[in-house]
Amino acid sequence: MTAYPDALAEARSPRRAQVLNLHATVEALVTVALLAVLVAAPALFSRATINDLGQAVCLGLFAISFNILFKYSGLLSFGHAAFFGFAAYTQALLLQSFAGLPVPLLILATGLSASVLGYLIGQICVRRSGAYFSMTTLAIAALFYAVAFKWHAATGGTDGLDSFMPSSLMLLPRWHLDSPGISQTYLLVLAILIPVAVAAWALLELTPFGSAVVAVKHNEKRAAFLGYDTHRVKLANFTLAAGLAGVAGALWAIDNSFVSTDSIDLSFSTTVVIIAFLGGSVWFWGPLIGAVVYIAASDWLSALTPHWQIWLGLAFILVVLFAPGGIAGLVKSLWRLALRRQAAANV
Amino acid sequence: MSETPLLRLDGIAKAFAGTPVLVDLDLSVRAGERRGLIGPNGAGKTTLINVITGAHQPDAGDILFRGKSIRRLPPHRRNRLGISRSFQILSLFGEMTVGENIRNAILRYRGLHVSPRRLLRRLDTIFTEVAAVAEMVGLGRAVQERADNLPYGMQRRLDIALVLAQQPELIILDEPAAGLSAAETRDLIAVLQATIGKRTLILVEHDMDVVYALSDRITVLDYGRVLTEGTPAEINANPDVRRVYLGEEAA
Repeated sequence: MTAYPDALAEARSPRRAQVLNLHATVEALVTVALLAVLVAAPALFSRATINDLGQAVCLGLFAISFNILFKYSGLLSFGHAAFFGFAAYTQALLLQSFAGLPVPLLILATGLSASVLGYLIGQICVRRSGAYFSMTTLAIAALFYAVAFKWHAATGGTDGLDSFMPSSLMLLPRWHLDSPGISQTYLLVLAILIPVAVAAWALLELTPFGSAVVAVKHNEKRAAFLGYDTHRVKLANFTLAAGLAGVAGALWAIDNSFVSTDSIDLSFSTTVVIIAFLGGSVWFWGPLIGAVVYIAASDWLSALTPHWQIWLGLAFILVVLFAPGGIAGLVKSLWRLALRRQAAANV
Repeated sequence: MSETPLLRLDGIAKAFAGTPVLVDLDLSVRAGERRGLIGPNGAGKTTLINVITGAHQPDAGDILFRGKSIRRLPPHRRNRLGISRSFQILSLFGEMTVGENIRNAILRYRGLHVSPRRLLRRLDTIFTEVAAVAEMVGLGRAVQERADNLPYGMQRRLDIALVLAQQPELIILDEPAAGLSAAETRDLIAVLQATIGKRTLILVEHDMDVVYALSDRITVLDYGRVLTEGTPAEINANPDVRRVYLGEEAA
């Protein structure tokens, strides 16, 4: 093989790659710290806080799944709650009917069913781009909401579904969790969420599949003329995002022991947009940070004023205007500033 | 003796909003041939490339590649058969590095582009290929540069690198020297002469120095029809061509 010293040397000591690695390191450090706190939370915080954190991590995975479409495919979905809500109802119904099966298996089945739904709906949606994609997802979500609202026999309509949680959850054959408390349910949610999210992160950040998705996002026309089946690449990512939203919805049903039309209505589809942008769509894990901050801010603001949503909306507007990268973007900017100061001090 | 041409266009017609751009056009390109396509602006050169590569569907006629019709195939399927093209208006992955741009082309060509079970970092052969292609077009020192930060001439080279990286059987270059200085054009000719090898080339270009340097046959288009075809010397001496295209420059 011929040696190509210039290109190889450039690639081995690249300035840009060093900067990128530093950003990746900061993201990894923040993410690991956050995950460590989440895992240790039952030993650190009150039951009420654990209850909130359970909501936050489910919402966080949901927002990550939304952001998989936005960050990697450039597709802004206004109807992502369709998959989340569909999965929440599916999980509730599965728990009602198959309480004797291991819960992880039921969650997997729910995630897969949401993926299949995503694959079918994606066939329509990903043929559009920009505003037309967003409007198509919005219309489909509205349809799903209407079905959930009207189909009382399956969904309980406005009453929702409750009493579906068995008193004893089977984790594995011969390993049951009897009358799980808040902390146990929370840890179960985390035990499913973390490996699922890490697998999705690895798929998109470390494999050729992720690089194909990003290539199609950056220049779909050129990708097609280089031999990429751009429709299938986008569809695959849409299916992945729907499946993850499905797992999030399944965990939400377990964590809340209750599913209502709130989990599938249109405002929930916009809440996830807010969470993702608040945390920062530039990082894979940014939306998880956003979810924790969102739940904490909601709690704090709602204790102060009944009009808390106005203030939260205002905060979102400020983030979009002045910190479009969200919290993750702010951390990146601060890190860059610190590096510049250090470089200046070294000169 | 009849040799099946690598590419054959039979009676291709294409109109936009009722205005005919290509009219009953026939074209035949042998394997290994380097074919220049020239003609005045609006002659239909880029439309013809778009029809061959699948960006446009012809209204009539057929396109045969290695004797089989590719008319109904989408662009990505035509690429996978061995047709790769560059663009008159640059079309790069601007926010990605030079290395990532070339990697996109190679991963697809090697069939690894959607592999979910391999780690990018472990694909050493791909990395070596990326470095080789970058070096080949003179971008060896720019592998880590963002594509849209490159000077225009270097972006042109990257555009061509994406084509060459896939080792296509048929290379189609759409005005590769557009916007380049005389020195950059000379460099580009040298790069192309060194890298195209025995592959088949269709070259659309207005700069006749580039066309003469890289073509062994030239087809002249005018108003969507083939005006004439011949060797560079024949084309240069053809009075019709001088009238409709070469004009004062060659006179």
